[in-house]
Amino acid sequence: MSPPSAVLPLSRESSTRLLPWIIGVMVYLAAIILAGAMILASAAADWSRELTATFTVQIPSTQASGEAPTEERLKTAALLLRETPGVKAVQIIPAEVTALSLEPWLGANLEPRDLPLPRLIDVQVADVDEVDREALAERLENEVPGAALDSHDYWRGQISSLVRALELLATIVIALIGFSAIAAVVFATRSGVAVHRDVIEVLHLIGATDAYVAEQFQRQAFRTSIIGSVMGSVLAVLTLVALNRMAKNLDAALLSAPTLATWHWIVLAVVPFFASLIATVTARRTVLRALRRMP
Amino acid sequence: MVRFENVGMRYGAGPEVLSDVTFTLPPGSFHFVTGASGAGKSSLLKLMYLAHRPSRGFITLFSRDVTRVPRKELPELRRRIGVVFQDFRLIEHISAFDNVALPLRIAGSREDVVRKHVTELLSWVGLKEHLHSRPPTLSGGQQQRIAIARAVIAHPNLLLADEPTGNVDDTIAVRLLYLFEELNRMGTTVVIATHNKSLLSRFSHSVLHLDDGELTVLSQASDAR
Repeated sequence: MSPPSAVLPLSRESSTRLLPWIIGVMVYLAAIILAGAMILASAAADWSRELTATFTVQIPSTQASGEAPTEERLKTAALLLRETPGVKAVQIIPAEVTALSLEPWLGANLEPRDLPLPRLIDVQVADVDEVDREALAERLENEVPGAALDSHDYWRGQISSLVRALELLATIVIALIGFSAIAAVVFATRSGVAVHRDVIEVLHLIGATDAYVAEQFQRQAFRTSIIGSVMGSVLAVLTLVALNRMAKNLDAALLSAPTLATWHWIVLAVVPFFASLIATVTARRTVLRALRRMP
Repeated sequence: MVRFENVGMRYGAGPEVLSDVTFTLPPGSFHFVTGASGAGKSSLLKLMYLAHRPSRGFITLFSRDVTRVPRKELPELRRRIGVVFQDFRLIEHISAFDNVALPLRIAGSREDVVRKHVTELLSWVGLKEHLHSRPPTLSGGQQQRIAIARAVIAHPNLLLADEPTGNVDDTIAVRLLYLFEELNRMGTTVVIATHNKSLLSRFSHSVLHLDDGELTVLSQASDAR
């Protein structure tokens, strides 16, 4: 004896046939956006960590008479920094390198001695908490008047604001995708209830509960959504792998390849099951609400 | 078993299709409901199989006031009622077997029990060769027998049949009536809506006559219990 057929032929409906594709597209978009948001958040955390562990000291060029020559002030500041507890490395940036960074604006024929360019000292910190940056700035100002300490707070604030805005945007877009998917499931389910109203009425009259009828719809919704969301997820993974390979081939020092950590992959693996759960619960609630209006 | 007190029924805001209907059907009794087309026979049965609520009056079924019974308690009551619909209302995309098995599966019966009982009953109504046939591939008479098998498979306390002999010849009609009598002897209360006069004269049971929505008890059967 073959297993019992589904009492409601939901899989044959046109609205149900389209649903896996709709859910597949939604899950694909959601997974890509989620992956992007996670990569961005990780990269921003790395940048912020790097910026926190470094700071720059700026020594203005000697202009007033009576001031010690720039090179001398540079050495004094570097010595002070090397003696500061918590500082790992101190590197005086050559004037030519500083000039090179201005090349896009001032041209290639720039001679450092022609301009009163400030000299920079790159400082790396071993223990962020050990260095009191305010006290250090004060000491620098006393020893080398005009010396300024830039702890990159401005850049860290900018990055942090940008990342927060992008995360918020990603959350909104994922929520909109979720609402659209829910709307599609609601529409397909309502259409199914309307099409099979006669059969549902018969089921009720022979003693079926609303839960029995809802089970037929939720089983179909789960089947449909798991097919769609697995399709969407597989496609999203292929896209991410392809992007990852392309990024690795980039010969650009400033761009790091977008890599996903293990926990990112775990989150992405949960997406199809979460989408199916949402679709199943939505179908059940929609049917139960519709059935309440029936005798 | 079934008690109607001054029951009135209307569809939406339309006129009353049943007015001041009052009667009592004792457990294990057998009744015919007669009347011209549009007299309200099907509406009366709809009230009895809980497809509709009355617009006024009281209906007591299995000692429960079903006029006010909460919706969530209806399935339990409906499982005690077997219905043969005038248009059969079989589910077309599933087999004869699955149609008849539905009341048992809905009630949560074990699949081996379902298989045994459904196969037996379909054999008994002469459809052993059509267990896996879908209703649209069967004749009207065969579909009617599936509808009857579905109505009786769960041994209901109350069996309601709306024109169950409408699509079969007299010989089969009489056989079906014997089947209903057999169930009645096992304790099922049977109510059959019909305007087949030959059946009424052949089977001696009480007759409830409906005339333009009003009920008149025409005759009390000698075997009414």
